Amino acid sequence: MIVCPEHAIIAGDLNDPTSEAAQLVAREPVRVRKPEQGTQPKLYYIDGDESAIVPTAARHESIYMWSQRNAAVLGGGALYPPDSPLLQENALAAYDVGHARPWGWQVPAYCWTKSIGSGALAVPAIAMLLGRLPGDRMRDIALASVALVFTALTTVLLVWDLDHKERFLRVVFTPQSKSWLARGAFILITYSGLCGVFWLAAVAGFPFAASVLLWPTVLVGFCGAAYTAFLFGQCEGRDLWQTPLLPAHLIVQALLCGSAVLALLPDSIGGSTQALSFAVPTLAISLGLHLLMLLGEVAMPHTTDNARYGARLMTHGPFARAFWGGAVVVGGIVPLLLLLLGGPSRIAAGAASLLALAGLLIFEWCFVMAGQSVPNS
Amino acid sequence: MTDFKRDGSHLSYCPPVEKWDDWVELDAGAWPRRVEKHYQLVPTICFNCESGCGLLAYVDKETGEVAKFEGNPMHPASRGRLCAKGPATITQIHDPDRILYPMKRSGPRGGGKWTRTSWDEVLETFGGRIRKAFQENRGEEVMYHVGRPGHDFIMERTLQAWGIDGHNSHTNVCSSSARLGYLLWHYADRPSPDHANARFILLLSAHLESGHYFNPHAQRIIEGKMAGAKLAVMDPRLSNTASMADYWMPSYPGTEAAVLLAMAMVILGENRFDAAFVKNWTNWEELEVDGFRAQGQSFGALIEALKRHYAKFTPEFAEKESGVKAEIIVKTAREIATAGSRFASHLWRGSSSGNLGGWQSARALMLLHVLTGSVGTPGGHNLNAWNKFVPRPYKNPPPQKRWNELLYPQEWPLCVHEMSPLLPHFLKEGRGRIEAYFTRVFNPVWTYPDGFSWIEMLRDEERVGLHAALTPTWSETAWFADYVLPMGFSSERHDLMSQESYAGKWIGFRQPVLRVLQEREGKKFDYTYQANPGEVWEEDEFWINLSWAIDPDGSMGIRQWFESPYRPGQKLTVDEYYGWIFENSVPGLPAAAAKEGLKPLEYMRKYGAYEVTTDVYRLNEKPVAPADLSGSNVEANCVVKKDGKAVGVMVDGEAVVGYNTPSRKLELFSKTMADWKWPEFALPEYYRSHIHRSAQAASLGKPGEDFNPQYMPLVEWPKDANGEVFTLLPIFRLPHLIHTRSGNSKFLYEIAHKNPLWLNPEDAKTLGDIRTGDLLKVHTEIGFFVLHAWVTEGLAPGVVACSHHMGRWRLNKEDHVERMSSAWVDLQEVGKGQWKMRQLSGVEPYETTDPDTQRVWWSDAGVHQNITFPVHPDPITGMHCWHQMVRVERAGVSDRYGDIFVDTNLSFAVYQRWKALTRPAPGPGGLRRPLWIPRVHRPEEAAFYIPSSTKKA
Repeated sequence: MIVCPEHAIIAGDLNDPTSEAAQLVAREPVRVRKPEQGTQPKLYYIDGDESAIVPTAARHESIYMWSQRNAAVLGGGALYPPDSPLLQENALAAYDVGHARPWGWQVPAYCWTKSIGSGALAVPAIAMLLGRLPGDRMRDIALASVALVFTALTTVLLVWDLDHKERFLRVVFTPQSKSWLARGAFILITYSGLCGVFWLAAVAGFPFAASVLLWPTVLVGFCGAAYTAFLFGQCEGRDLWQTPLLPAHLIVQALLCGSAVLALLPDSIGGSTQALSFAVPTLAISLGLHLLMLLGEVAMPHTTDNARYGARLMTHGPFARAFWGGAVVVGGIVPLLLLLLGGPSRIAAGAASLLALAGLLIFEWCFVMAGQSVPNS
Repeated sequence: MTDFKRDGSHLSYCPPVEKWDDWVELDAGAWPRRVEKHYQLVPTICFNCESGCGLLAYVDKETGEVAKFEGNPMHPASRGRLCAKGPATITQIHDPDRILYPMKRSGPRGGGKWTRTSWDEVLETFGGRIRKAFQENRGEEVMYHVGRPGHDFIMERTLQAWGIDGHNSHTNVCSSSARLGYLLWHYADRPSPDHANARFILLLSAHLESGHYFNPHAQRIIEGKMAGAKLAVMDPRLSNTASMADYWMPSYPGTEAAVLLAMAMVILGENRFDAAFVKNWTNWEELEVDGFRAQGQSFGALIEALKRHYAKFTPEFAEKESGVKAEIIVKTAREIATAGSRFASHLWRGSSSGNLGGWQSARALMLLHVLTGSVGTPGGHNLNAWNKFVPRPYKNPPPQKRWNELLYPQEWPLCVHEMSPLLPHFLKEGRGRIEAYFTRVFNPVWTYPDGFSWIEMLRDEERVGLHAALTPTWSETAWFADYVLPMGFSSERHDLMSQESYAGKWIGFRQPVLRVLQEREGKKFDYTYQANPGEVWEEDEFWINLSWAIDPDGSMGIRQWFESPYRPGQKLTVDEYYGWIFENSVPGLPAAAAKEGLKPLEYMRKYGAYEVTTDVYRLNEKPVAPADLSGSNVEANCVVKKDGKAVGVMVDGEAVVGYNTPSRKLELFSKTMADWKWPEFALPEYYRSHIHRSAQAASLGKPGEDFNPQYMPLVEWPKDANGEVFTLLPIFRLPHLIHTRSGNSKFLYEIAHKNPLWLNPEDAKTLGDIRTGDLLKVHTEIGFFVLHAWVTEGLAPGVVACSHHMGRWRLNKEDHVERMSSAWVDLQEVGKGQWKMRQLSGVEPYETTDPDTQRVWWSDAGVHQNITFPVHPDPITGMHCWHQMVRVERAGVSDRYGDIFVDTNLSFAVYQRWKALTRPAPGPGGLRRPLWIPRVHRPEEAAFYIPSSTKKA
C-alpha cells in the first residue's frame, strides 16, 4: 500500500519506538488538531503553527492569496466573521478549500416538525393527570392526527436530507447500534406506531385502550424530542450543539409546541375554554423556559472555542438578525407579552401560539446553521 | 496487493521495482467493493518545470491508458517525490481541449480560424521554404525560439547541422543576470548548492516552494535543516520559504548586493575568512583597484586594499539601503563565517532578474563563498558544470560560420544569452526579417514584457514570413501562428535530461510511455505519434524529418547528420540516437545495464534515470591529465597552456585543472569587465537598480544626488498615470503553476487562479484605506492594468507584488486557449500602437467530454500584467530587468477588473532609453564578445570578430 510518496506525511507504527514516525514524534515539537475533542488524533504536525492548524485562528478575506473563496460548496461554505474575538493578530489565511455546510433547511425543519409531533399529545396528558382537563375523544383524534402527520413529515425531512436517500433503508435494516441516527429512527417508528394505535383506539371508541396507551405514547414522544440532542452530540467538531442543556431544551420545545397546538385547537375538534386556560399558562411557562435556555446557551461561557464561535455567529454574526429579531423578540418576548397581557382572549392566545411556533422554527434554523458554519479544518 | 496490518508494515512510499510490471491497487472508485486494478509502471520525466523530476506512469492494463502519475523512486534527484505539478500531468494529457492534429490557419493571421492539415504538408511547406532560404544565403532568417527546452543538446546539434546561427531562447527574460554574476567568477554560469550537507543556507530565492529545481532542492534544504543547518532568506516578500527560515531579511528590491557586501566586510573585518583558499584560488594578483596594484605585493596588502575598497559597506549603510537590520546582517555574516566551507546559497532570479545590475547580487554572493572557502566543498557552493552531465551523440556537425545579429547584437557584447525580448524592436528598426520562425513551448505574447509589440511583429507577414508554434497546448502566441503543431507532453516524447540538483551527476530519460509499453508487448512503431493520442508528434522525430525534408537527397550536406549510425544512409530513429548515446557516452551505464542482463537503452527504458557519479567535489584540484601536461608550458600568471589553449594552473607547485576562466582561478578581479569598457565593475560592486528610490524621485522630477543618468534610465510617466510610486515585484512564482504551460490542468487551476496585488497595510492606508478585494489601477511606463488588492504584512512597505502566472486571455469565446484558465476578452487597437483589452467574461463552466469542466466553480483567471511592461534590457547582461516602477491608485468608476491599456509607441521609446546605456562592441581585437565567455550554440571562432563592414559607430 502506497502512502504519501512525497514523504510529507510519514506513516508508521507509533508503538514501535524504532519506527521513523515514532522517532519524529519523540524528537520534534509536534501538535495535533483539536485535541479538546477527545478523539486522541494520531496525525502529528511538526512545526505546526497554531494559526495554521486552528481553523478559527486566521482571518479570512473575501479572496485568498492566489484563488477565490469557493462558495460553490454545499451550503456556501464556512463563515468567517471579520470581528471574531478568536482571531490571532496578523494571522491571515492565504488559502483554504471550501468547507461544506452539509445540512440544508430540512434539518431545522425536521427539528421543528418533530417538536410539534412529539409534544402534541403531551400537554393535555399532563392536564388530565393534574385533573385540569377531562378526556375528549375528538381532541384525542385531532391531536393524534397532528402527532402522526408531523412525525411523518419529520421522517420525510430526515430522509430528504440524506445524500444517499436509498441508504435510509440500510439505517433501518442493518442498523449501527451506536448511531443515534439509527436509534432515533427506531424511536420515531415506535412513536408513530403508538400514536397510530392510540388514534385507532380513539376513532374506534375504546376510551380504556386510549387512556392506557396515552402515557406510554407521551413518554416515547419525549424520547423522540430529546434523542436529537444525542444525535447532535455525535457530530464531533460541532460544539455549539454539544451543550448539556440540549435534551432538556428539546423537551421544553416539545411542550411549547404541544401547548401552542392545544391553544390553536378549534372548539369543533376538541378545543375548549378549559383546554385554552391550561394551554395559555403552559405555553407561557415553556416559552419562558425556552427563552431562558436559549439565552443561557448563548450567554453561558462555552467550553470550547468552536462552541463560542458558533454562538457568536448566532448572536453577532450573519444569523444575528434572525436570532434576535425572529427567535427572541417576535417569536419569544412578543408572544410572552401577549399571553401575559391578553388574558383569556382566544385571539391573543392564537396569535401568541403562531408567533411562538414561528420563532421556534427560526431558532432551529439559526442553531443548525450557526453550528455547522464553524470552520473545522 | 497487501493486506492491512495494524503495525503499518504493509505501507510503503513507492512500489518496488520488481513489482512494476504488475502493480495491483484497489480501485478507489469501486469502494466499498474490493476491485483490483492492474497497472504497468513506466518511468518518464516531468515536463512542467525545468527540474526534470522522475515520473512513474501508471498504465491501466485493462484500458491501455495512463491512469495517474506518481514519483519515480529510482530517480536520483527527485527520489520518488514530486510537487503538485508532477501528478497534475494526468490532467494535461487528458485535457479535452488539447491539440491533437496539426492545424493550419484558414483566414488572416490572428483571425482565429484553423483547419486540420497533415504532417506531410507541414514538412513539405517548411522544408521547401527553409531550403530556399538556405540556397539564397538567408540563413539568419530561419529561427528556432524556445521557451521550455526540456532536453539537452539535440536542438543545437540540429541547427549546427543546418549551418545557421538560429537558436533563440527565453533566457534573457529568465536568468541571464545571475548567470553573468556566476560566470565572471568561475565560467560555470549556475550555482549548485549542496544543501543537504550545509551548516548554513542563505537563499535569495524561494526554493522551498518554487523556482529552478525547487523539488530536488527543497528536499535537501529540509534535510540540511533537520540535521541542524540554519536557514536565512533574503526576499522582500514573506514567501513560504521565508516563513520557514531562521532569519527573514526583507531587503528593499535591488539592494541585495549592498547587504551581501556588508556581510563580506564583516567576515573580512573580523579576519574570519579562509586566507589559504582566497590566496590559492582567486586571481588576486591581477587585482587593480583605487590605485592599488596587487602584482608583486603581499597577500596581506591585498586584504588591506580590499578592506579599504569595501569600507563604505558597513552594516549601517546596508541597513539604510535595504531596510535589513544591521544587527541581523552582522549576525548572519558571523554564522556564515562559522559554517565556513559548509555554507550553501542559492540565487537564480528574484534579485538578479528583477534589477538593473542584478548580476552584481550573484557576484557579491559568490564573494561570500570565496571568503569562506565554500566553493566545491561538501555543504558548499558547487558549479553546475560539476553536477550536470550532457552526453554527446554519435557525431556532431561543425560549429556554424555565421553570426546572427538579431540574437547577439553589438550593443550587448557581454549578454549571456540571446537578446530575445528585443526581437520585435529589432525588426521594427529594420535590423532583419524572419522567413521561418519556430516557437517551441514558447508564449512571448503573454509571458514576455511588451506582448503587444510581439503581436504587432507576429501579425506582420513582411517581418515574419512563416510561423509555426510547436506546443502541446494553445497559447496566446499560437493564435498568431500560421501552423500550430501539437507536440507531446512528458509521457509522449523522448528527451535526455540532466540538471544540477545535488552533489552528483545524473541523467534522466523522458520517454513516450504508451509507445514503450506497446513495444514491450511486441508491437513496432516507426514514429511516436502512432502510439500517442491523435497525431501528437515528438520534436526529435520532427527535426529529423524536417532536416530530411530540407535536404532530401543529401546534396546540401544536412541530411548526413540525421542518418543512422548503424544503418548507413538510412533515416535516424530515436532508438538509435539515444541507444548510441547510452552505449557510448555515459560512463558506467553499459556496465550497470550488463549487470542486469540489459542493453543500456533497455536499462534506461526500465529505470528512467541513471546516476553517473557522486565524485563531484573540488574538481578544480584535479591534476592536469598527463597527456595535457606533456608539451605544455607555464605562463607568467601560472596558467598551464598547451598549444595555446589553457589546460590548468599551477597551485602550490602542482599543475591542477582549476576553473575555465582566463586565469584558471576564481576571478575576484575581472579583467574582462575592465577590458570591455566597464572598469568600474571589475570587482564585485553594488550599484543602484532602476527602481531605486532615487530613480523613483527622479521620475517625479526630483532627481537627487543618488540618481546617476549614466547608469539609470529616467522613467517618463504617461500623461494619465497618477497615484503613489511603488516598486512592483512581478516575477514571484506560485508553487502550483508553471508560466502558461499549466493552463490546461484542472487540478492546478482549481488551486490557483488569481493574482491580486500584494500591498503592505501602511501603503494601503496611504492609498486611501484600501482593503483586500478593492480594485486598484496600476500604471506602468506604457499603460495600466486593473486588479484586486491583497493587503498583507508579508511584504516590505513601498513595494507591491503580483504573481506572474495568471491573467490568461482568449479572443474566441469557445476555444484556442483553455477555458478553465482564461478570460474571454475584447481586444481593440484604438489608435496606432494603442491597445485596449477588456474582459467580456471570466471563467465559466463548459461542456466537454470531461464532466469536470462543468464543475468549474472559479470565475477568475487573474489579470495579465506582463503585457503592460516595457522592455528593460540590462546594459551589460541584456537581461530583461523585470521589476517595474509603477504608480498605484484606487480604480475609477469606469475601470473594470482586468482592464488593460498599452501604448507600444511608449515601449519603443523606453527601449531606446535603455539601449542608450550600453557600451557596445567591439572589444579588444575587434571582438563581438569575449572568446572565453560561454555562448549557447557557439559559432566558430572566426565569427566572433566583427567584419569591418558591419561595425557600429
